[in-house]
Amino acid sequence: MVYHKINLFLFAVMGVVLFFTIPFYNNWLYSKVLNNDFAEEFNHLGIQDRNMKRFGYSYSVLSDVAHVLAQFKDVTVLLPPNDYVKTRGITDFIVPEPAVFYYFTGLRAVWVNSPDASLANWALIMNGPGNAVVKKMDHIRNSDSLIAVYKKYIN
Amino acid sequence: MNFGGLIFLLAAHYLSGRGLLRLFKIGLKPVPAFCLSMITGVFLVSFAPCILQLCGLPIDVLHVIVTIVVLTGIFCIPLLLNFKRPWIGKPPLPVYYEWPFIIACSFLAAVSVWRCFYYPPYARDMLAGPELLAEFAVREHTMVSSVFTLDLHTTNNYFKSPYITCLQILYKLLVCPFGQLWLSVIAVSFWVWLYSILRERIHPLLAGMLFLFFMAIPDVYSYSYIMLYDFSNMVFFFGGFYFVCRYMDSRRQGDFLFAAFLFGAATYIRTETLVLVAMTVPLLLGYFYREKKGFAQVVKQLFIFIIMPAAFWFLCIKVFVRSFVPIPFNLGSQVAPDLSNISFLFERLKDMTFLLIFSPIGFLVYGYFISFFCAVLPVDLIFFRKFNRGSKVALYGIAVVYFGLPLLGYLLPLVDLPNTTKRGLFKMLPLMLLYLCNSGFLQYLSGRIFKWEHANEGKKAVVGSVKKVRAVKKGR
Repeated sequence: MVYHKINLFLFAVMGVVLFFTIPFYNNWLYSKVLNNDFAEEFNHLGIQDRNMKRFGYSYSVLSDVAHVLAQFKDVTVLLPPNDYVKTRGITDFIVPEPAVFYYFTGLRAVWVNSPDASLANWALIMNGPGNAVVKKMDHIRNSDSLIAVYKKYIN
Repeated sequence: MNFGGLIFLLAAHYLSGRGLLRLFKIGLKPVPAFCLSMITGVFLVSFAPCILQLCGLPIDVLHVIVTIVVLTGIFCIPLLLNFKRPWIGKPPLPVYYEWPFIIACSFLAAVSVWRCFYYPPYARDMLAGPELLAEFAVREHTMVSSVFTLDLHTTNNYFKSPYITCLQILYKLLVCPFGQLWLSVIAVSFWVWLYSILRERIHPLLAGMLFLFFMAIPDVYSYSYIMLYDFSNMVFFFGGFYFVCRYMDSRRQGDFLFAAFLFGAATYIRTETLVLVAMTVPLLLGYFYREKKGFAQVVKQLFIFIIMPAAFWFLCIKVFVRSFVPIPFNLGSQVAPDLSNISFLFERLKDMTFLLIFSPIGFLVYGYFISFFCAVLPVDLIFFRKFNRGSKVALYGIAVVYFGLPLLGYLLPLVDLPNTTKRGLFKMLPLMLLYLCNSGFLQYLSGRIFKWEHANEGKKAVVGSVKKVRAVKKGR
C-alpha cells in the first residue's frame, strides 16, 4: 500500500509538472503569475511607490498637479482630450475622466465639451513626452484657440 | 497595514457568518463551515457603512467599529442560543500525495493575496465608481460626498451596488489605504471550500488535478486580486446552486433557505442576477413535482425562493442607491427600447458561443477549462449515462448562465459581450467543476484509483487473519 501511495505521490508531482509544461499554462505562469519582482516590491511598500508601479507616469503627472494646485481654492482644471495627447507623441499618459481625476488629485476637472467647461480656471497642457504643465486660463494668451484645438479632438 | 484592524474584521466575518450558518441550521464539516462563514461574514459585515449612513451617523473609525460589533453581536445570537462546545481536535491532514497540488495552488493563492494587498485598485469601473465613492466617504465621513458635485456624465458606476463601496470603506478605515483585502478573504475561502467539495466526491489525486485546472483559469484568477463585482457574484451564485443541490438530497429546509439567501447575496452584488435566479425556478418545480409536494407548499417554497433575492434587489436599488446617490436613477432607461426584435437574442447567443467562448479570446480568458468540460460531457452521455443529483443541478446551473446571459444582453443594452458577458460567464465555471466532480467518467476513474490504492490492504487483511487462525489452531 505504501508503494501505491508513493506512486500516487509521483503521479501528483508529474501532474503538476506536466500541467505547467502545457505551452498555454506555461506561458500564463511566466507572463502573468511570475512576472512580478516580489523582492523589489517587498522593499518598496510605500503608498507612492505602489501607486507609481501601478499607474506609472500618469500617476506622477497627477500627483504633481495635485501638489502644485493644493494652495489654490476653487480650482477647475480643463483636461486635454486623449486623442490630442496622442498626437503630441505622449504614449505613457492616459488622460483620466473627471471622476478619476478627482480620485487622484481631489480637484475638479472638466472636458472641453462638458456643460461646465466654462468654469475651468486652470488647464492641463501636455506639450510633449515628459513635458506637462498646468497653467491658469487667464495666463494663457490664446486660450480660445486652445479650446478650439481641444474641441477638434473630442468625439 | 493595521494588523489589529484586520484581525478584528476577520473575527467579525467569521462570527457573523458562523451565526448565520447556525440560524439556518447548516451542518458542515469544520473546514467548509469555516470557509463559508468567512464568505457570508464578509457580505454581512459590508452593511455596516450603509446602516451608519441611513442613521445619519458619521462614517469614522469609532462608529464603524461599534456598528460592526453590534452587527456581529446580532448575528451571534443563534450561536449563543444553541451554544455547542467548539470542536477542538486535530484537523484532518491531507494525504501526502495531495501535497504537490496543495503547494502549487497555495503558491498561486499567495501571489493573488500579495497583489491584492500591494497594488491599488485599478479597474476603471472602480476608480470612477465604488473606489472613488469609498475614498471620499472615508475623507468626508459620509457616503453622500462631494463626488456627486462633479461632472459624472462619463460614468454610471455610482449606480452600482454599494457592496464594494462599503467593504472598501471598512478596509480603508481599519486595515490599509487601498482596502481590497476582503477580496482575498473571499477568494481564499472560496478556493478552500471548493477543494473540500471536490475532495468529498472524488479521489484526492483527481480532486487536486481538477482544482489546479480551475485555479489556473486566467481571468478568474486575475479577478481574485483585481477588485470588481464578478468574482464575489460568482462565489455566491455557485453557493446558491450548491445548497439547492444539498436541499434536494437532504430535504432540510435550512439548506433551501440558505440557498435563497446566497442567491439574494449574488443579486445584491449584481442586481441583474435576479433574472438568472428566476430561471432557476423550473428546476425547483421539477423537484417538487417528483416529490409530490402539495400545491400550497410549492407556492410557499417558491415564494420564499424568489422573495429573498427580490428583497435584496429592492434593498440595493430602492433603498441604498436611492438614498446614497443624489442623482435620479431611471431604471426604465436601462432596458432595451425595442424588445420585439427577438433576433438580437439569438445573435447574442451565437456571438457569445463563437466569438467569446470557443474563440482564441475565449482560450485566453478561460484556458482549456471549458474545452475539458465539453470533452467529458459527451463521454458521460455516451458511455456512462449516469447523472447523479449534483451533476444534474450543476448542468442546470450551467444552462441558466449560458442562456441567461444572452437574455440579459437582449434586455439590457449595457450588458455587452467583451466585458459584462465575458465576466458573467465566470458563474458557469465553478458549476462546471461541480459537474466534473460528479461526472460518471471521473467517478469511475476515481473508483479505479481508490481500488488500486487499497488493493493490497484487503489482501493483507486476509493474510493477517489466516495467520491468526493458524496461530490459534497451533496454540490449541
